[in-house]
Amino acid sequence: MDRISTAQMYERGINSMLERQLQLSKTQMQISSGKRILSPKDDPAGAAYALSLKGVISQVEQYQDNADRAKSRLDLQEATLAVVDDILPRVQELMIQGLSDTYSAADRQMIATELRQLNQELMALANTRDSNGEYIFAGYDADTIPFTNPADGVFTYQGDMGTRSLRISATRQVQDRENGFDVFMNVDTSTGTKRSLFDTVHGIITSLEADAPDATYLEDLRLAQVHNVSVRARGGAGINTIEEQVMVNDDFLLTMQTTLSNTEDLDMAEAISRFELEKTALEAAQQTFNMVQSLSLFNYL
Amino acid sequence: MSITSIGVSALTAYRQALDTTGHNIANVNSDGYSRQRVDFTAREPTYTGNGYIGNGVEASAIQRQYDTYIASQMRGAQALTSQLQSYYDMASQLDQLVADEDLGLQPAIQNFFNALQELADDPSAISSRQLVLTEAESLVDRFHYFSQQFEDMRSRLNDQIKLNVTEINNLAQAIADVNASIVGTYGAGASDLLDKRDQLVNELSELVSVQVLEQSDGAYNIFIGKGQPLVLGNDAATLSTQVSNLDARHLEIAIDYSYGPQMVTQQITGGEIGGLLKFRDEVLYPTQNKVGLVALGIADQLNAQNALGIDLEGVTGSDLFALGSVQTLPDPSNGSSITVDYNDIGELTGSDYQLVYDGTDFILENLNDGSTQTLAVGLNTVDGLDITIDATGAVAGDNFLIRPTRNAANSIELLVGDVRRLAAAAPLQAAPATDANGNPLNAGDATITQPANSSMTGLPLAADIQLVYNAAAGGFDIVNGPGPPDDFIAYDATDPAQIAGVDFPLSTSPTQFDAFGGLSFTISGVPADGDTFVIGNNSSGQSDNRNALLLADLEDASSLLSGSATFEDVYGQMVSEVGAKTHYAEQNLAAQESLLARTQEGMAEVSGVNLDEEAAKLIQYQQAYQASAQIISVASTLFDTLISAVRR
Repeated sequence: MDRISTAQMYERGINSMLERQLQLSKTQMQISSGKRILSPKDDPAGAAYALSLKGVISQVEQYQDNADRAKSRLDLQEATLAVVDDILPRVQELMIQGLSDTYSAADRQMIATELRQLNQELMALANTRDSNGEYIFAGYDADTIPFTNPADGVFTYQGDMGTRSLRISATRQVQDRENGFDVFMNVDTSTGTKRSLFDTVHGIITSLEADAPDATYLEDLRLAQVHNVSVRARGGAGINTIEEQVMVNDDFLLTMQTTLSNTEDLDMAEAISRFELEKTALEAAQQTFNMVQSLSLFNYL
Repeated sequence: MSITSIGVSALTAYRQALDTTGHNIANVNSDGYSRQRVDFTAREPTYTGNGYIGNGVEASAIQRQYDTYIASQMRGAQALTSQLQSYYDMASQLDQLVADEDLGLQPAIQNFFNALQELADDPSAISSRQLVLTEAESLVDRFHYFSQQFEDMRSRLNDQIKLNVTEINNLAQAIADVNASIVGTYGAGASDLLDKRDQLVNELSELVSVQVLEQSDGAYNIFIGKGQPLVLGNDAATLSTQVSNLDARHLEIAIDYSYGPQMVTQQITGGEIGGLLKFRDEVLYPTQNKVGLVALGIADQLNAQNALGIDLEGVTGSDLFALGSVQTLPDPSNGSSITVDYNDIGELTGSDYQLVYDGTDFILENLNDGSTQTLAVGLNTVDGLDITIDATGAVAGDNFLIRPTRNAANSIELLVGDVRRLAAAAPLQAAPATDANGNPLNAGDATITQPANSSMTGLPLAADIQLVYNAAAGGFDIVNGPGPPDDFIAYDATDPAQIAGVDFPLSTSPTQFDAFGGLSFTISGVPADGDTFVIGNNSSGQSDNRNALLLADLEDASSLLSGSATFEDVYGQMVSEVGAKTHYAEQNLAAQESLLARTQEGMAEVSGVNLDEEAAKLIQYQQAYQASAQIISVASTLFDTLISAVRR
C-alpha cells in the first residue's frame, strides 16, 4: 500500500512554495531589469551573441564619431577652398582689366596692389587652422605653419605630403585632409610645368608692375581654377562618401540594436502574464498547504 | 496458565505497542528516523486433554521499516545533487562576473580600441593620447581584477575542500564508532542506532560519493573513489589535503594509510568535494587560461604594432604592455630541466601541458584534449611555445607542468606613462621631388601613396630612397635603396591598368624592400622621364595617424588561436562556455533534485511516520489495552465468585 509520511507532506508543501517563490523572484528580476538574460547561464549562446553585438554597436558608434570628425574637417576645407574659388575670378577680372589698353601704368600699379592683397588672402587661406589649432593644409606636419613668404616673390611650402584618413566603417577609410602641396603648389600651368598658385598670382603682379601684362597668365589662372575645383570635387566626394556611410551605419546600428534587443531584452507582455501566472501558482500552493496541514486525525481524538 | 496471565501478556504487549507508537509520533520530525512497528504473535499454547488452550499474546518483534535498496539509491542521488549544487554555486559566481556590464572585460577592451580610434582621429592632441593611456590603464586594471577574482575563488575553493575533508574525517570516525556499538548490540534493539548510522552515511554522501557494504556482523564498510576504504568496521581512515608538488596553490586530497598517504584527487567523485574539484578543472582553470590568452594577445599585438611606428618625438615606439612569462612548474625531485618561452602568441591554444620523462622519451600531454606527443631533447616548437629540454640528469618520472596563459591576466602591466610615447605615426614618408621651397619639380602626373612598413629593419633610413622614372627602361631606378638586381621597379606608363595603380613591391619580388623596413607603396598616373619620388624618414609627423589606424584595426584582426579569433571572439567564447557549463549544471541540478526528492519520498513511503496512521494505531492499541484490563477484571470477578462459593 502506498503511504506518505507526515514530514514528507509538509516538505512537499514547503518545497512547492519555495520553487514557486524562486520562479516568481526571477521573473520579477527580469521585469525590473527589462532583460531576458540576467547572466550568461540563462542563454549562453544568446549572451555571447549579445556581447559581440554590443561590441559591434560600440565600434560603429565610434565610426560615426570618426565620420562626424572627418566631415567637419572636410566641411572646413570646402569652405576654405570655396573662398579661394571666389577670389580667383576677381584675380582674373583684375588681370583682364590690366590687359586693357585703356589702363595706364599707374592704373596697373593700383591693380597690382589689390592683387598683392588678394595673394596675401590666398596665403592666409592656405594657412587656415582648425578648431584644434592644426593647419589644415600642412600634411602630417600640422603644427607648423605650412606656407611662408620669406621674400618678395618667394613662396615656400614647409608642410609634408601626408594625407590622412579616418576609419568610418570596418571596410572604409575616408581622407579627412589634403596636403598643401597637392592643393596650392602642384598646379598645372600653360607651359606644362607645375607651379604654385601664389607664384602664378605673383607673376601677374610683377608683369603688371612692370607695365607689361602677360596674357599667358590668363590660361594659367584658368588651370588654377580647374585645379581648385578638382580638389574641391575630391573633398565633396569625400563628404558624400561620409554622409552615405553615416546613413548606412545608422541603418546598421538600428538593425543591430533591434537584434540586441530581441536577443537580450524581455518580452514585457509575456513576462507580466507569466508573473501573474506564477503568483497564482504560489497562492494556490500556500492555500493547499494551509488546507492539508489542518487535516489531522488528532483533531478528532 | 490462567486468564490472568493472558490478560497480563496482552497488557504488556499493548503497552509496548503504545510505547512504540508514542516513539514514532515523538520522532515524526527526526531526520533519518525509521518508523517502528510491533509484531504481535500468539504465545505457545498449552496442551490439555481437550486440546490446545491459548496462552495470550506477545510483542514478538519491534520491526524497523527500512529499505536498503532505496537507501543506497538515495545516497547516490544525494551525492550527485550535492556535487551539482557546489559546482553550480561556484560556476554561477563566475557566470555573474564574466558578462557584467560594468565589470566584464568586453567593455574595457572596446573602450580601449575606441580610444585608439580617437587617437587616429586626432593624433597630435594630448587629450586623445591621454584617453588611450587612461583606457589602457583601466583595461590592465580589469585584467588584474579578473585575476584577483580567480585567485579569490581558488582560495575559497581550497578552504572549502579543507573544510569538507575535516567533515568527512569526523563523519567517518562517527560511523566507525556506531559500527562498534552496533556489532556489540546487534539485534532488534539497535533500530535507533542503525538509523543514526544511516543518517551519518547520508551526511557523508552530501560530501562525497560512497559505496556501502554491510558486513555479516552488521558493520558498514565504506569506500570512496574507486574502492579506497574510508571505514572498515571500527576503523576510520583519515583524509588529508596536500599541497601539489608542482603548484603550491593547488590542493590534492590524500588518504593517510599506515604505509603512507595515497593520492585520491583524481578518483574522488560526487558530493560537495567532487563538485568543487570538477569546477576547478572544468571551469575555473580553463576560464583563467582564456582570459590570460586575451591579455597576452592584446599585449603582444599592440606592442608589435606600436614598435612599427614612431611617437610624437619621432622615436620608434616601445612596448606598451609588459607581458608575463610562461608558468613552468618543475617537480622538485626532477633531474632534468626545461625552459619554456613564447614563440608565437597567435598560435597558443589556451591549454595547460604536462611534460613527463618516462625513462626513454619526454612526452608532452595537452591537458585540455589529452593528446600527447614526444619531444626531442633541445629546442621544440609546439603550439606557439619554444620548449627547450636539458636532459642532463634526467630520471624516469621527471615531471613539469606548463601553463602558458594562466598568469597572464595578472602579469600584464602598462609600461608607457608618457602620452608622447604612443606611436601614432608611421616611420616613412613619400613625396614627389620638390625644390628647397617646396615647389614641384616633377612634370608628370604620377603620384605615390604614403608608404607602409612591416618591420623596422634598416630604419630610420640612412639616406632618402629615390625612385627616378626612366622612360627608356620602363620603370623607376631606385637610388639609395636595395642593390642590384633589386634597384629597379618596372612601371609601364602606357598601360591603363598600371596607370590605375601598381602596388610595390610586386608579388614577384616580395622581399625587395625587406632591408628597408619591408616598405610598400602604390604608384599611379603617368610620370615624365626623370620624375622622382623620395621616400624618407618621417621627421614631422605629429598629425600622422597611419600607425594609430593600424593599432585600432587590431581589434578586428583574427590574431589569436592560429588566426581564427579576435580578442573579443576569445572572450566571447569563454563567456558562452562559462554560461553553458553553468546552464548545464543548473538544468542537471534541477533534474537531480527531483530525482533525489523522488527517492526521498520512496524512502519516506517505507520509513516515514504518518501521524494519522499513528493516531489510528494509538486508538487501536488503547482499546486493546482497555479490553485486556477487562480480562484481569473478569479474572478477579471469577476468583471472587469462586471464593464466595467455597466460603461456608
